[in-house]
Amino acid sequence: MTASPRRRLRLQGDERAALAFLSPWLIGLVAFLLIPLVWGIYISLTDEQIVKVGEFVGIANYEEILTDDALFRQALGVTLRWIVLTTPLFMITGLALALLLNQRLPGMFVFRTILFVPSVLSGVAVAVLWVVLLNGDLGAVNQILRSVGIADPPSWLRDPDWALPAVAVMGLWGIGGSAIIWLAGLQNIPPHLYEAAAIDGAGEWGKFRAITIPLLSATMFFVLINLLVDALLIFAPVFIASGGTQTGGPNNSLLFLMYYIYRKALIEGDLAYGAALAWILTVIGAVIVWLAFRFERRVYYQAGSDG
Amino acid sequence: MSRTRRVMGLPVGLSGPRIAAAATLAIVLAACGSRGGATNAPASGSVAPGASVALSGTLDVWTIPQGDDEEPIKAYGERFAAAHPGVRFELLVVGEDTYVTKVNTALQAKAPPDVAVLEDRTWMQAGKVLEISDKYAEWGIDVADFNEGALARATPKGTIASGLYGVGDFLGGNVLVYNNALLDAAGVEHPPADRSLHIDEYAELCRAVAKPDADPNKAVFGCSMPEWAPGIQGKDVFGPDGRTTEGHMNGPAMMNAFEVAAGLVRDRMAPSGSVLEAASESDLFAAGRIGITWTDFTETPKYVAQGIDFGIAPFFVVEEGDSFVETWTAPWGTFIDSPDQALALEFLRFVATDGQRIRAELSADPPLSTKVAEEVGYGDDDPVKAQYLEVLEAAAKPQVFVPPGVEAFDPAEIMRMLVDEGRTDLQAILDDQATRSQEELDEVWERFDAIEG
Repeated sequence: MTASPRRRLRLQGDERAALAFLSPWLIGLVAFLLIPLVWGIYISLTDEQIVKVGEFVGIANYEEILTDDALFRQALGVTLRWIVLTTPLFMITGLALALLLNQRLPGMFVFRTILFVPSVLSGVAVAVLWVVLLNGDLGAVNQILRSVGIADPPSWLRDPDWALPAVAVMGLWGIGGSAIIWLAGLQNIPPHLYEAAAIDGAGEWGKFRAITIPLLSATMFFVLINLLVDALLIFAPVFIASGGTQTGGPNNSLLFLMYYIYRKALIEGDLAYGAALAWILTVIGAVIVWLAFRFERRVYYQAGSDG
Repeated sequence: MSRTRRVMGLPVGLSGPRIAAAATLAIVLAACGSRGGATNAPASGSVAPGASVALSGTLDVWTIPQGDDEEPIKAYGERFAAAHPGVRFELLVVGEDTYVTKVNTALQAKAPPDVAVLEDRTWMQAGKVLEISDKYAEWGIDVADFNEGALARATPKGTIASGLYGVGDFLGGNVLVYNNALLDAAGVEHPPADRSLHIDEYAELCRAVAKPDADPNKAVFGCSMPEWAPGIQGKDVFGPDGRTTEGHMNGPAMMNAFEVAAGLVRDRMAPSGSVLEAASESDLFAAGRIGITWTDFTETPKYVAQGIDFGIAPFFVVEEGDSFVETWTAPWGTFIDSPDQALALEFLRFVATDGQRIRAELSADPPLSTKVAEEVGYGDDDPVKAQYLEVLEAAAKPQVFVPPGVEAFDPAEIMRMLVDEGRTDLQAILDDQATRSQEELDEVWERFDAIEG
């Protein structure tokens, strides 16, 4: 005899126990994620400040951001330039390092450790170190450049044309973390495929193109998503590199979106405006990740598929 | 017959989920700890000076880093705790870049500390800070005894008439110090102590003293020219009422000031921003590598220790006939949502009275109270301190108040464009910043005036 529909809505004993033990996490999800998300939407529709309770103003904050905020356009441009500059750079560099680390040579674990260590150091400490190294007058980088004949090296973090590339160099120093992920992907490729390709007369480039790249597609996609999210959320190195104050670097060349949100909400105290900026960043991030997933369908290879 | 399922040895039908739910509730409640709660009289109580109030509990005090000044602050805590055995003094030093943010978030959570340095005047304007104008009289203190310019930091609009929200313990001042030996070697007259040099005079002195070198590690700089120096006086940038940029920010005085400043840095007479990222002006002065520089007076013991024979003068100015020394204090106040206001107010009374004498014992700075400074004989047996008082007397004055948030005026960016990019259209640069700053200035004033407690 089947239970009536009304009875089936009630949780059984095991289900109730499971729900009860999941409840700490569920409460945390609701209290620290869902409620703040919804509250953030509400705040963005008010003129709430950190020292003043807000009143409902509708989409005025969004209108101002999208039509009348030159700094938002600057921050968006900087962030998008950062994504375009660093995503392929970090992916290619990470993969190249992983290919080197994948060589079966004695002592390779030492190199893996050396390359991985920077990625586990404190981001703030690394940023402070690089600010000192990149000092235009006294930094080690420019002293080396002058010693090899470059008389007028750039001021790096004080030059609006070089500040973004300088921060990219700081990020490259920590590329060991993603190289390890690439390495894991490489080591999951069955070696017999390379042997078969060698028998068929494929060269190194042929093996790389026909075997390595397709079978790394899952890893590639994982790294790509992580890089895109990290690029949108970058904050600590930029905060340090731009002097840790209210400025966004020389001529606002380091005014990233996350930093602009922080400045608006927590330094200027305009919580509502900051919340609206945060939601716009969320939408931008969702669109970028959606595009990445669309791209993934074209290149993701699975064993046994025709791709 | 039904079977009873068990979880953790307990029958599920009866206690398992309920125990899990109770455990969850316990975890959540444990995570939401209290701050200890007030143990003394409620907030509105005024504490009569010298009244034996049985105070107890933890006094949470937040401050920005104050270098050597933290020694007197710790001494206040120790002596206050000694006078009130039931009180535990806890000092939290928060980095200057994040201090305002930390306090703002604490205010949002209605969990501010008992006492804090009032770094942001919007807290006062918004009514988040307890006004203590009437407390001074209760405590037997005459406000006129305190340096007006410095005490203005404890007011929302830069004037005592707008209300007093804090107490100060020291009188800080940004003055110039000059190396007597370097100036004498260059045959340059020492700057006077009773008036400010005009920036043109300052530059002339700087160029005479400097010994430039392509290697910045070997250069002797004639002077310092920090990026903010041309605009140090708010009235020069935002007008005497703090509300107008046109004619001030882009006026002839500021034009000349930035041209002179950029010239000194470009010609390596003064250290660039890059050099100053690696070594501060006070370190360069202590090493005998800079002829004249600005300093916080608390740095002077370092120069004495290094054997530098130095003199003190007021800061330079950009308008003829003007004299200026920026003075300040770190105003301590309590918030309306602070958990233990009675304790906080007693501590503030302590700082405003006994704290002045402790400060004079332990710090190079004079106490904020000129009356106490005279009583303890500040400067009587120390020519450096005596000269400092002379300079303050001649040139200390309050700054015009401008609400925070005007970012279009960016002296560092102006200097970068002039020095690093070699731009020569300074008037256009200043006109542009003046126009954009005026829009922001109007907004911040409108926002500030609209904030009501």
